[in-house]
Amino acid sequence: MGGRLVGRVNRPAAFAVAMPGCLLAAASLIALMLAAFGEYPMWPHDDVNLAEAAGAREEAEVTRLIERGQDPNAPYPVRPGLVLDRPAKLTPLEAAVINDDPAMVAQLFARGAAVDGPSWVALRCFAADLRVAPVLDEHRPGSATLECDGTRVPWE
Amino acid sequence: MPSAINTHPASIPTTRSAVIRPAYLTGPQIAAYLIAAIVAASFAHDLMRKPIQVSDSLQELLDVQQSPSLWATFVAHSPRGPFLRPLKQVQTKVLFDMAAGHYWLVFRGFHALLIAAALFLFTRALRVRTWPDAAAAVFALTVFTGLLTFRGLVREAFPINLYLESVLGCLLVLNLAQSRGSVWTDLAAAVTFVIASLTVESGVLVWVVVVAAWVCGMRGVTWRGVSAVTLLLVSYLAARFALSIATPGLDVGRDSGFGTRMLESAELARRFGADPTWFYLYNVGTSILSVLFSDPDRGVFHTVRTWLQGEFPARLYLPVVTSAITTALIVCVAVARWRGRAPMMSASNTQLLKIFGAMLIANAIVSYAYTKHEIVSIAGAFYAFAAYVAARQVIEIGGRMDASSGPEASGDHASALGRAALCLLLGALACAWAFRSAGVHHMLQTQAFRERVEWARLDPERIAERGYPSDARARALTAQLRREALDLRIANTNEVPAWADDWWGE
Repeated sequence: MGGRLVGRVNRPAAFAVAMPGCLLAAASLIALMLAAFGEYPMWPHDDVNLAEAAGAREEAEVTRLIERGQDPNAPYPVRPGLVLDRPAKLTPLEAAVINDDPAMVAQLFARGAAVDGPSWVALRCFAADLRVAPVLDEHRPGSATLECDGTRVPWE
Repeated sequence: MPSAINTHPASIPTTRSAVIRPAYLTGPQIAAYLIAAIVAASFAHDLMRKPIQVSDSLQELLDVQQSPSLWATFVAHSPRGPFLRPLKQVQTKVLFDMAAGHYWLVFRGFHALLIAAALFLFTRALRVRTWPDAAAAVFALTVFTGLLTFRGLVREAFPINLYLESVLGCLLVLNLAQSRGSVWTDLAAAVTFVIASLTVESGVLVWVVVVAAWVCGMRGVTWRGVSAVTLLLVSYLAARFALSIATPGLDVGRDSGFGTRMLESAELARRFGADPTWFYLYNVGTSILSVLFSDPDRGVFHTVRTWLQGEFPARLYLPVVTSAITTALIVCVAVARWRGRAPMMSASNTQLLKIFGAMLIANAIVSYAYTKHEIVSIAGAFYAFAAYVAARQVIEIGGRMDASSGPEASGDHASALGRAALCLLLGALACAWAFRSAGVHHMLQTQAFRERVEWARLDPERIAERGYPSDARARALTAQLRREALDLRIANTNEVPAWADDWWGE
């Protein structure tokens, strides 16, 4: 009886119906096995430092790292591709300003980031046409004078 | 000529005396369960990478923390506005007390277990016997998990996903109805109804499954069981009446869609307050359409809205097109069966089709006051059964084309073209459903990322500002939940390629 039943079905159609689901299951199985070793091919999680988290718009990770003791004012090595296309050493605030991410800049200020006069001027001049400019203006040090001639940002 | 007599093993009528199940798993069954297990494991893994959410969950957890006992929880949450969901909070309390501090593990683990159980019961109810059955079952699994209604089963929890429990209850009683039947299956059906109906209103659909299955000839739940569950339904309705719990209506106070836009509750009251009948009918109709065509959602026809705006987002059109083609296949198969032109359809598959029809209508009626994908998720699960039947039948039709043409006619171009077209259509459709199913993983990662941000923005010392209880224990619990959420390794979905959001986003 089994042979007769198999003879009645359209095998290519059965194959076509099942194959995508089987491939998805196979891909899921591979992803699960890789996950056991901490590898996530489609939705990866990379360990990042505070500047990289700020540059990658990872608000929760920024919060976690600051609460775990990372200094929001220190420079950190940033891998190419996250903020700039070359390796750089940036503070979290610089990474957020380069990304033109006002929410991140505001969060960093709220969580202890601070800038001195020359650093603020450098950032503010860089951000002249960016959305982060008003946020920077709110945190202008008293001693800072906005004079952009000859000002250079540290990562250039 | 193909025989008009159905010799398919699964076609044996499922009367109490005729149910035959092999004592061991066959190759096709093992294959179907294996695929289901992998799918379940992949979703379970995603769920275990998600934090408990802040909205709709933190308040519930703080409530049960304040509650001194299970009974106090039950009493305090019996009637709440137009809702009667005492077991919702009781379950939360049980898990909370069991957790002993490991809240994320227990609540997310419970959600993962529910998903695994639902996929197991779904696969079991397909009654896979042959390899073509297994092929159709794999397709049905991608339909079940690719439907927009499935997203509601994994996206959120409150902190338990009530809609998933309703789906689970309905799948459980369907499996009971397919069984040999005994006093224990009757008892299990009754207990399932009680738990489901007292957890969320759509749990009463368990009764519909029991009755529809019995009417279709499934005798696993006997007439005694059907009577008992019906009596429990009457008792449930009487209890609502005695407790003066009104049926939900426009007074629920939720925004709802109408046409191509959302209307605020005040606007709904102004438009339909005098006679909400048309609004209710609209919700019933759009609920049916949302299962069959993946649009509208919450009463809003998003495809029409975006079309009027000159946009054609893939994330809307892919679900609509795949659902429309699948629905067309289901309708063709159902009509063929109704006209007696589908003699190869097994009795059990015919039963699944009929029960889907009943569940679609019943679930839509339950959604009369307020519609969204989550509420019609039960009909979504049964839609996947119908897709299974359609795929199984189309595979048979192809076989009959082969058989009728015979080996000497194998060179017949029309037949060959027909088979090729059928394979192409099915293959493309199955690919689209698998792609939709994969999109659920992306949605879960995106949700997890957002929920972690929600926790990052919450200051446990200032929860009183959000209206939460704010004593030391509440603050400590909030701080722990927040710590658990922040410690999770979650993908940064800002870094995921844009195409993922274009095709799978919400």
